[in-house]
Amino acid sequence: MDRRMYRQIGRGRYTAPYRPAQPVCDDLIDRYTPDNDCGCGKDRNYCEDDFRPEHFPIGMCYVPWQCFRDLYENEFVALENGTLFKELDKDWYGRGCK
Amino acid sequence: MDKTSREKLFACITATSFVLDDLRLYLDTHPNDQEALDYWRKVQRVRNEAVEEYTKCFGPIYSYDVDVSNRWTWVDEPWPWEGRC
Repeated sequence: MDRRMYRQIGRGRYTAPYRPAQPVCDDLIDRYTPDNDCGCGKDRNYCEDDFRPEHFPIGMCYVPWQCFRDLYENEFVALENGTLFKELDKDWYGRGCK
Repeated sequence: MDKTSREKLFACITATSFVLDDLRLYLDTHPNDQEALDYWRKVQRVRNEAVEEYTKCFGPIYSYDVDVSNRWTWVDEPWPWEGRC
């Protein structure tokens, strides 16, 4: 990567220098602000309520159901963060194997 | 269309392509999520328009779209590793 072409946005993180003045999805932050409707056809509390220990036998792995909510403001912010979904933007605790 | 417009247009294609890639992963497990489908249609429309405009003004992004007359013009533009496209 030619880093001269990119604007540094944080430690070790770069982004493209150009972005249109009006991202196409700039109204999403309002549309998808969390409320009682998570957009998956179920009540917003479904994800949390359904994740009770008694629903899950031991000895098996589970992945919580994702809902369409908490999106990044527009497509450029999504690209910078490597995901469209704020809930999936996690810190990295891994390390290299040397 | 000037150089800045070209770069803005390409940045738009890059960002909307990324969002569609991420949305595809979500829709693979939520094929009936109407809000996600609405969002897909919106971003897809913008991306398609941007790709069409870019291809018309600056040449093809994909080799499938090369307009072959008497020369393979795909090689006339900079390669990705030359950092100018």
